[in-house]
Amino acid sequence: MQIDDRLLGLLLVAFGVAVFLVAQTFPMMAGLAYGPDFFPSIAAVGMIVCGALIAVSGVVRARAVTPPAAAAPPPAARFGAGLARPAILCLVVIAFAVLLGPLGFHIAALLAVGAAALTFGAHPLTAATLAVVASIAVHAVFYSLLRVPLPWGVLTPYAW
Amino acid sequence: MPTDALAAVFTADNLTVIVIATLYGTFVGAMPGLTATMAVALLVPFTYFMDPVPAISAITATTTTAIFAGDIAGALLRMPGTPASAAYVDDSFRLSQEGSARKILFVSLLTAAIGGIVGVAILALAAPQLARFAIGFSSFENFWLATLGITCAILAGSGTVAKNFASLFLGLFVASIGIDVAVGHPRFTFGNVELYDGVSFIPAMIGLFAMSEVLRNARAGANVERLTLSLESVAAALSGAVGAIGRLKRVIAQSSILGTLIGALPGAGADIAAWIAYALAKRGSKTPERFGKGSIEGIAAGGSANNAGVAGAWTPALVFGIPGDSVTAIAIGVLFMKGLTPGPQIFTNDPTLVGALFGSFFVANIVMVFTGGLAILAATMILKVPRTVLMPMVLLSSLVGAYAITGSTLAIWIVLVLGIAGFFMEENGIPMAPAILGIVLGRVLEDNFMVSMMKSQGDLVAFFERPVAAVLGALTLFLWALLLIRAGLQLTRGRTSAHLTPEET
Repeated sequence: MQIDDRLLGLLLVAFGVAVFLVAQTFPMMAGLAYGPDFFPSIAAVGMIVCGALIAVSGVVRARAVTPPAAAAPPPAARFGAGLARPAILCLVVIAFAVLLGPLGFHIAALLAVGAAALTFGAHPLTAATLAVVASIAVHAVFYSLLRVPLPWGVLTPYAW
Repeated sequence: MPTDALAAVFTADNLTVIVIATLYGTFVGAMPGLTATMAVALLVPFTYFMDPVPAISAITATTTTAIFAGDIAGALLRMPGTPASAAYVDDSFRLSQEGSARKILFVSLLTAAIGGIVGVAILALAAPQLARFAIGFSSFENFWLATLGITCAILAGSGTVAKNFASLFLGLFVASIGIDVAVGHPRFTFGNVELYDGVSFIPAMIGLFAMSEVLRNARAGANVERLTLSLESVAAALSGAVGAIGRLKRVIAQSSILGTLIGALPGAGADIAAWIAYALAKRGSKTPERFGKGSIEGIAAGGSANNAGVAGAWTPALVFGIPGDSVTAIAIGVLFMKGLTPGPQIFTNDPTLVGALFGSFFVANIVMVFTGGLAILAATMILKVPRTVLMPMVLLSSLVGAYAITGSTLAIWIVLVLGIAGFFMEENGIPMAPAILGIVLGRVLEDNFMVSMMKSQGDLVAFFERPVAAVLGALTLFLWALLLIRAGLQLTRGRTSAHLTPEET
């Protein structure tokens, strides 16, 4: 998602201010010139300065290139365009994180790969096949070969 | 190289790992949209379960071949498989359209192997000498080295100065999450005990390099590539390639050495090495007008420089613990997981590991000639794997791989958050390399600063009292002044720097 440099800069400034304020709540030790807040504060101040610079350069550029008549398509038109698929994928990841424990990794992997393949525009049959293959592959590689203790969830009674 | 290091390289296990890793690296590198860094990030969960020597071999072999294999998609589809192939993609695509696809891919492969071997040779010669010099460094010098490393990353970054710095500060912020070194106060953990140790490094890298890539591909949509090519016979292609390399000896030698040196600069990886070697070869060429329109000289220059850069990047990583590029940043994380701390001491404490690293690197470059050759023959098949199948698998490997490292769903959340962050940053011209160096070096920086402050009781002048520290400090301050001037110029002109080189390799 591409946003205007002016907005990008302001977002950075806001984030920097938030980090800075939280850092000020860290306890200080007597006799220490630099406490736990020192490095986060540097990072925060840095983000504020950079954010301001990015915003200012955005303003300078907007003035330089935008004669009102030939204005580029308003950012609102492009804002969020094409983000549906990435957004769905993020939801798939969240669902995977939440369901991994209760449902177990076989079912979670099956659902995640199936949903992701459909999101990428795969044929439902391809998606289903891929999901089954992926689930078996995770079992074989991570569970059997690498011996990662993956959760079995509802399938625990059948675990081996 | 000591004999036990040789023995460690030539075990059946290690050689098997190298062969598998070169095949894996070839495949991932050849796929457009899957970078070499991503290949390594997805590999890391596996290295977690290996001994140190095979783990390092797997990483070096994967990177080496992935950087070469980027040329395959570049030549056949005009889509560089990794950003390191971007410099000469027009040349290789033009020539492959003229019917010599296999010949130029063999040129790529052989120059890659030559560049890689030159890079390893320089690494093996220079690194121990540098380590001998660096072993006397105290927290003051180490602080300046880390600062210098970060500064180089900003100089080499592809965005404007302000955006490069913004990326660095975001990385430093991520590094500051967790218990602090001075008094043990939990920072930015919001009561989550699992975050006390900080943001786990591997899930963070998987998020930044694999998850963000999946999101970007989802946005771009699943486009189908078409391949219409007539391929020449293997024998003709191979003899043509060998002949061309014979004629281009000087350019290849020059680019290999140059690539190693550029790769050794922190933050400047294989992609920048390829761009600069390509530009230099063009300047010295008798036929500069062919560059960009099908110059085999340009392909040889870029192809050897990017693989030399891969080896060069290990110099600062091994000697100072400062990663030369994103891949060595991940490799340093892997070494830490194995309880090994990169730095001058590793050369005296673990000579076998260091020797085995050089040896495996060398072997990987040899093995690559064969697996890469197979890949060239099967190239059209590899490129037919549709993205609709590939991307869901990459996604699942990211999630399960991250979970495997920590055994907790927190890893999956880290992958998600940093994946979104990486996606958002790339979309807005904020390069990722400075952020990664910030994440890796943030702790080093803070530890050395705090220790130095305790030694000097809060006196900042102490940072300039030791001679080497003074030189490093002065150099850093000089570079900062340079960056400030550049930032000022960019601001007044209101321009963005030409977006020449994507950041990750």
